[in-house]
Amino acid sequence: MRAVDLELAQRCRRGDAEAFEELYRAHAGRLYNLVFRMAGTADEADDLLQEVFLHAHRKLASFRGDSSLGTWLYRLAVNHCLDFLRGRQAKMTRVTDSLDEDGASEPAAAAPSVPTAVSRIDLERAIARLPHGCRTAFVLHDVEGFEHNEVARLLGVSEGTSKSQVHKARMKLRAMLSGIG
Amino acid sequence: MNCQDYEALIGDYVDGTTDEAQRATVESHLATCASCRAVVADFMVIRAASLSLEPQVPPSHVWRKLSAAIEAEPKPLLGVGGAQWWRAFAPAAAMAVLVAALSWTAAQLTVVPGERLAGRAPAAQTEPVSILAEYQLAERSLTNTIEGLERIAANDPSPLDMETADVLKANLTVLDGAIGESREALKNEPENNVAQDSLFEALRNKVALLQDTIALINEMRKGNQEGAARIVSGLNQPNDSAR
Repeated sequence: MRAVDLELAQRCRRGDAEAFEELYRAHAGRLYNLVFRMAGTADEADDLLQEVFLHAHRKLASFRGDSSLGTWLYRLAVNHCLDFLRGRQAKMTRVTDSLDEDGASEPAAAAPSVPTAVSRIDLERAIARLPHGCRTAFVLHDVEGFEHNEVARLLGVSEGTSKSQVHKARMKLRAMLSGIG
Repeated sequence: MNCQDYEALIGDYVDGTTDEAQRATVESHLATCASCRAVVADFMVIRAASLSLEPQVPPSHVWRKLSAAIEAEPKPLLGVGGAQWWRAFAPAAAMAVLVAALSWTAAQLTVVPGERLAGRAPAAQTEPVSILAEYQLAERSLTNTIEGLERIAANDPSPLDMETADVLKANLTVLDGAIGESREALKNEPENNVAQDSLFEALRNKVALLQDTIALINEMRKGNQEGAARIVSGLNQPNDSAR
C-alpha cells in the first residue's frame, strides 16, 4: 500500500473533510466510468456514485490497508453496483427476464456484420441494454480493461464464468450493433 | 470440433491471450469457417470501440449532494468527538460549495484535460487543485486504452501488406517519439501546460491510429477492398492519421 494512501485514509478517519474531498477528487472519475456503464443512465450513475462514496465514508474506519484505497473503493463500487442491478432486476417481471436471458437477441447465423466504425452513442446505448449479468463482466473486462482472473475475483465467480459472460455480452452487442451505420 | 467448441478460444484469441498452439488451432478453424471469421472481426471492432469509450465526468452536483449528505451523517468517524468533527467539517463543506460555484466561473475560462479528451464543453466540477491529478488520471486512462488496442492490433497483423505496415510503423514511431519527448519534459516540469497538451495530443493520435489499424485489419479480413482503401488513404495523409 502506498504511503500517500495510508496518510489520506488516516486523515479521513480523523474526520478531515478536506482529506475526504481529496479522496473524492482522486477517485470519482474512475468510479463514475464504472457506475455510469453499469447503471446505463446518468441520473442513476449520479446517485450510485454518491451512494458509493457515502458508503465509503461510513466504512473508512474498517479500511485496514490490505489493498490500495483505489482498489478498496473500486471493490466497494462494484459490490454496490451489483446490489443495485440485482434490485432493479428483481423489479422486472419473469417474462422480461426470460426475454433478456434466453438469447432472444442472439444473432442469426447470417447476421450482417458490425460496422467498422461503431459510434460511441450506439455502443453506450447497446451496453445499457445488456442483461445485468453479462453487462457487469463485459464492462469490467472490455471497457475497464481488467483481465478475466481479475473480473472473476471482483465478482466472486470463476474465470470460465467471466469468459462466458463476456462472450455472451459480445454476441448480444454484435446483434444489436449489426446493421447500424 | 464444431463452432461452439471454439467459443472460449475465440474470446481469448480476440483478447490476444492465446498461446501459440491455441492460436494456430483457432486460425486453422477460421481459415475454413466464414461464420467464425465474421464473429472474430465483429468482436475486434466491439473490443476496440469499448476500450476507446470516452471517460465520463461526474457532474459537480454529485459532490455537493455528497458533502451535504456527509454533513447530515449522525456519527463522526473513529473516536473524534462529534462537536469537534462538525466544527472541522462545516467550514470545509461550505468552502466546497463556494469552490464549486467559483470553479463554474473558472471553467468558463479554462479547459481541463478530461473534457478536452472527451470533446465536451467545460463543466463546473474541476477545481484548480485537482488539475494535475486529472491530467495524470486521463493520461493513465489513455495509456491503458493504447495498451489494449496494441494487444488487439498485434493479435493478427497478417492481413496487412508490407507497404501499409511500414506506413503504420512510421506513424507510430513518430507518435511514440512525441510521447517520449513530452513525458521527458513533464518529468522536470509536471505542470508544464505545453508539454501536457503535447502529450495528450500524441496519445489521442496514437489511439486514433491504432483504431484505424484495427479497422483496416477487419476490412481486409472481410474482403472489403473499398473500405480498406479508404482507411489506407487516410493513413497516408499525416493530418488524418494524426487527428
